Amino acid sequence: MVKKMQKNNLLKLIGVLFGLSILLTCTVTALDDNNMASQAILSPDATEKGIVKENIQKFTGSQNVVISNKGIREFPLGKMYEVTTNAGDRYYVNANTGDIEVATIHNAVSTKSMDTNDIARMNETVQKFVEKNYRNFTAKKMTFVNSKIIDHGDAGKEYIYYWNEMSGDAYTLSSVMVSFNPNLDNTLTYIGFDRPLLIDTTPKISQNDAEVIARSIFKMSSAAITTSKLVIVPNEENQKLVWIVDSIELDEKGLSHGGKATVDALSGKVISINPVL
Amino acid sequence: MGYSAGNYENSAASSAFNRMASDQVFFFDGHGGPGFIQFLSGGIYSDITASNPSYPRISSYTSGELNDLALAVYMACSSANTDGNSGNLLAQSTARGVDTALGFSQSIDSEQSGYWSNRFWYYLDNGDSVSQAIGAANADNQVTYGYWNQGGMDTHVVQGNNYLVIDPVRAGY
Repeated sequence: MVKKMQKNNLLKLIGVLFGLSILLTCTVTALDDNNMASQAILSPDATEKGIVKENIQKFTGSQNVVISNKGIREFPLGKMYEVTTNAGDRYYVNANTGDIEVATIHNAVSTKSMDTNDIARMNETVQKFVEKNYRNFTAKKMTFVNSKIIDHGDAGKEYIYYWNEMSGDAYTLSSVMVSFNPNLDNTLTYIGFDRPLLIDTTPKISQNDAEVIARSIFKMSSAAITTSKLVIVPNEENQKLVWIVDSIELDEKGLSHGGKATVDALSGKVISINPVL
Repeated sequence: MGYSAGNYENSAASSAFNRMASDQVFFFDGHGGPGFIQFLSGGIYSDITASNPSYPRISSYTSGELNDLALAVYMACSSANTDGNSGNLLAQSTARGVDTALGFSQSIDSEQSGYWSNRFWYYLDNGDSVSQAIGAANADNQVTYGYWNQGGMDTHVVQGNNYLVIDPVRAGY
């Protein structure tokens, strides 16, 4: 009986250690994902063959893709390789991970099923496309935010679908947008970013206070059309929680007045002022 | 890009209006609204409108008089929209011979419009068509500023030929 208990305890200990080792492994993996800035940049060779080519083949469903590396570009969200294909498609690829973050593709086989003018009916098809191509879609619990149609005149109607990871009321940097224009060469644009959340998302400045601050900058009354969003923006290697506030008034001639103010959601400091044309 | 380019600031509407028939590419960046773009020179405002009889108006050109103008870009708030008095800039431009006219259906922010313009002309200079250059400039703009901060640049409206290429140099048809 004593020996059996000792054996059981040993098994439990092994189980606990095994569990801990899995946890530690997961933690190390998470840390690797969360410190992309410190990761090495992929070799340019990886773009025309290797992981980038493999990712583009998965994205398009086509094996016959020839890739040209157009060089590296730097954006607020990090460095990206710009690559084009023999089909005339354009991609920005995360220079650390090889993930496709921007894609503009024309007449792709995998998008032809989206050719419908019913935005609601397309929703499920587009979400399947996003789940296939945005690596952490389920793990991130991406929230469907909106879909809309923008009429570009002779450039056709663009159907836009947007998901964002939410933290409280704040839109984090992890987001994915797909737009599709059936009238313009079945053009599909995909823009998806997967970034760790590095900061607390509780604002110290209320939405109303941020809007009052923005209107005061543009010398507008409370009658101005004002909209605002609590958004996380990149801040060099870190992140910042801001209110992005739009205040617009039209005069009797149809001229717009006002603009966009970005307000630090912790301090209330105005970070940028951007008047409309 | 190969064109003989001129950059005019603090110009009156009349001087810009008089240039249009001899231009191959016309780019306005400033204030505007449905059916008009606004100029400021010496503290005096003046407008080019689509069809308002009280102001310089594109409709006063005869059909075909703007045939040499391949591309007209009206970088101004609501420049693609129609006004009851001033008309529609894109419709009047293409009716008078412009191959491709580009405007915006909502208010646009000054910073994003500047960035977007740089990217748009960069892609055109690389030989992309108007629709390709717009798509690429929109993507760059969204990557740089974020989905919630596109500054209205995603509300572009095109009238005319989406597949126009202006590099190598050409005039309109």
